[in-house]
Amino acid sequence: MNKNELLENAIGKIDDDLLLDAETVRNQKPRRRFAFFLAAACLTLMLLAIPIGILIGNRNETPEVPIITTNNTVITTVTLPTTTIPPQTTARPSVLDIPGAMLFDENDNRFNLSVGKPYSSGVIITDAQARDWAKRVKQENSVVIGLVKDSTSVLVAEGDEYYRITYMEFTVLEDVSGGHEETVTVAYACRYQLNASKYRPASGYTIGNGTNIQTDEIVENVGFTNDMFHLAKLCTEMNPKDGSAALLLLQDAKDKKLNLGNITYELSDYADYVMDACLIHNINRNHATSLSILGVRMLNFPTDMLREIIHDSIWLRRDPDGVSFSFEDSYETFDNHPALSVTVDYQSIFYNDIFIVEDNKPKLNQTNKWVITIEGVRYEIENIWHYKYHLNHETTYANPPSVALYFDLGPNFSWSLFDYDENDEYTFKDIRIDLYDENNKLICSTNLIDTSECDGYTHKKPSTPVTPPETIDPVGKGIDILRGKETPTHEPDPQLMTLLAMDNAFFRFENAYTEFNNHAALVLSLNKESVITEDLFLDLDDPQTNIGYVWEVIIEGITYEIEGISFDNTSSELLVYLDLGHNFSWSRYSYNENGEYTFEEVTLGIYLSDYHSQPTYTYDYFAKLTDDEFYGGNTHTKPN
Amino acid sequence: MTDEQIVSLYFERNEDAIRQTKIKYSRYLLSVAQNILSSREDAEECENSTYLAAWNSIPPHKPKTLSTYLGKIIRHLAIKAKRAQKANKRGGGEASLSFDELSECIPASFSWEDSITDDTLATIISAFLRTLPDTERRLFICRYFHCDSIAALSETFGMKESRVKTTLMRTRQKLATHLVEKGVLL
Repeated sequence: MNKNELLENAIGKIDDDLLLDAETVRNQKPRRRFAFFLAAACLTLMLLAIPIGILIGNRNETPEVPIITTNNTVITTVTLPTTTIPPQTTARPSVLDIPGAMLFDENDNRFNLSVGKPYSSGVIITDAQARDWAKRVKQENSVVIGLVKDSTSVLVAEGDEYYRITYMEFTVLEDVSGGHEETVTVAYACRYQLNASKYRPASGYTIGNGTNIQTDEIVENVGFTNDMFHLAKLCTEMNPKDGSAALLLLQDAKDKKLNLGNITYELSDYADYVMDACLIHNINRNHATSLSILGVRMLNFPTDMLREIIHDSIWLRRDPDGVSFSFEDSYETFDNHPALSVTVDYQSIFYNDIFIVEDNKPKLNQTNKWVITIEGVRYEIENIWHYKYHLNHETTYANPPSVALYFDLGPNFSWSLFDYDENDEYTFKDIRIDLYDENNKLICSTNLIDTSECDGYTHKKPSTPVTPPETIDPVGKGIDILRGKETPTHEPDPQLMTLLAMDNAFFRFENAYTEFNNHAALVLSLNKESVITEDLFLDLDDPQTNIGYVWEVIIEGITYEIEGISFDNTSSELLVYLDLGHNFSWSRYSYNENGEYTFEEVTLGIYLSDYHSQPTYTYDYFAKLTDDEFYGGNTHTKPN
Repeated sequence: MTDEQIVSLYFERNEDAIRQTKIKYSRYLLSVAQNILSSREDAEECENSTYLAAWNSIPPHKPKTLSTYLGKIIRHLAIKAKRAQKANKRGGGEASLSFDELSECIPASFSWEDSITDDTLATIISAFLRTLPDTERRLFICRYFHCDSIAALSETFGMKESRVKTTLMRTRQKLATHLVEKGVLL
């Protein structure tokens, strides 16, 4: 028995009176709910004047449930309490209720959610068109699944059993050929009539009206993780309103399992949640590989499991395979700021997240926001200049391009931040790229350095002094390159901000705090009676035991993950010392002739759990400390 | 029917004991099992197994409180089923989350004292729980015995979810400290 199991078992044997006590509280909720629902039901019944006799009449059914021993002998039969199951009156929504058109392009074998965006055949799907489709699809309880070359090449195929999907109904919605004769593009809608109870993975899949799909017939070999991720991304963006999760999964003919990236799922693991399943399309690329795409709608799919699946996909994206990088000590395009150059291979899992493809050429998706974390310091990137498209070979799927991106690390990045050794070398251990969509949702993350595989990335100190701008105007144009100056990643908690304001909390800096190896420290001064203190530090005698998982401080747009926390409880206030770490430097700030600098943005964020494991993470506590209306301590005197 | 009357039925080998047990405790038992297994069917299977186990174990056992007696049985069966399920190597609902949290309070570098048994550990944990304020203790039990979700606890206890998480985290840390002090965690 391992230590976790021992603990789990022990919890299962705690004293009865403790359990009983907890049960008492636990049982209060259902009672409240029951009372509420009872009252609501009574009110409804009165208003609708439904005879109560109808309800009474329904209470005659008393299903019996046998209790069966392990040798299958029935030892008793019990009668279930009477329950009334209301008839299902609402129609099931479509399998994939996508608020827009999901377009499949055979030119590059990719799906594109292309509302308002051009797609690779040169046809521009306007927002109005997409909306019109979506509206019609909704009316027909169907979904647009593809744009295809002609009316014979998709889904309705030539006699292959795999293609005989008779339960689908197709409707030509619109011809959007765009003037390309050889690329006549047609949109289809399909309708699903499926029965989840018949859906069981065995030798094949029996779906809906009895159509059996023999998975053996699907060509072997699955390897296009880019497509998988693209689909995974699509499916996780779906958010059906009925609480179900719609997943697009790729089915591997070889092992008859469902794949999401390199993770394999047995659909039977989730059989309890499968409501609908439908073969949507196969991808047949170069006649060498084939995938089938299975739309699966999960009802009551536990959100933590969904989160885990999404997390898996993000976790996989941390795999640095196919991504290489180097530093540019001084990149002219960026006013000689240092730059990080990242080369992305087409085969890398990053590719589809970063680029949209037009005419088989990658184009950077400009709506995304990039954050690069180097040795614990976050740099929110404003300038990405420029990708270099490697055209030294024919860009086909078999011989794909690689693309180089240059990220402007901005004026706040300096090589002097790192402790180069006597050989003028420094080994970077932690460089991570995070990609966010326009809603600040983390969609892609990769660690460029895998310390389990190597010691790190060794950088030679630039031989000639590079000149990132030495004079930084704290409110001027220089610092604007860092987006963090404008808005922190996370939304502040207005309630906490209010509480801090009411509590008259203050902060200041310690230039070099001995307990933190002479690192700079941010010192919070909190009223012991304050709400924030009570909320975060219940045990004031030992506040160390009460801290959250990760603390971060954002100072002028740069995020520092706090390396150490100490407390001083001896005065009338609780002093919290936060170690800003070795990457913090006073030289970042331009002090005026009086040796003073006024910090405009100092914010505090606290996670109560390991945010690295979350697909999207937000602070549990967030407070803006710099606010002249309430706080002091903004102006700092340059250390001697 | 009171617990005492139901237990008497068991002692009389009257099969109505199971029926009465089910009427009184089915919902409670299902909620515990379903929190762990995330599957209605599996939970119902555990529920039936629990009745069978109760049938086989009463007598000789004569539980004073039937709910906790059955609750322990079904939790044990559900955890056992969960461990056996291949699916749960990839996680299995609220139980996995709560167990993961629990395991967090034991640093990887620590190990149990060699002779420790789950019975002994249960006694130590029970004693520890008695030192806690009511809310903390109830939160802990609801989370780690019944495997209730954070959202459910938030609703039950009328606290913000972040407050629930904070309180649980503190309790876990206190528990770890307590176990070290008691010499069972080395």
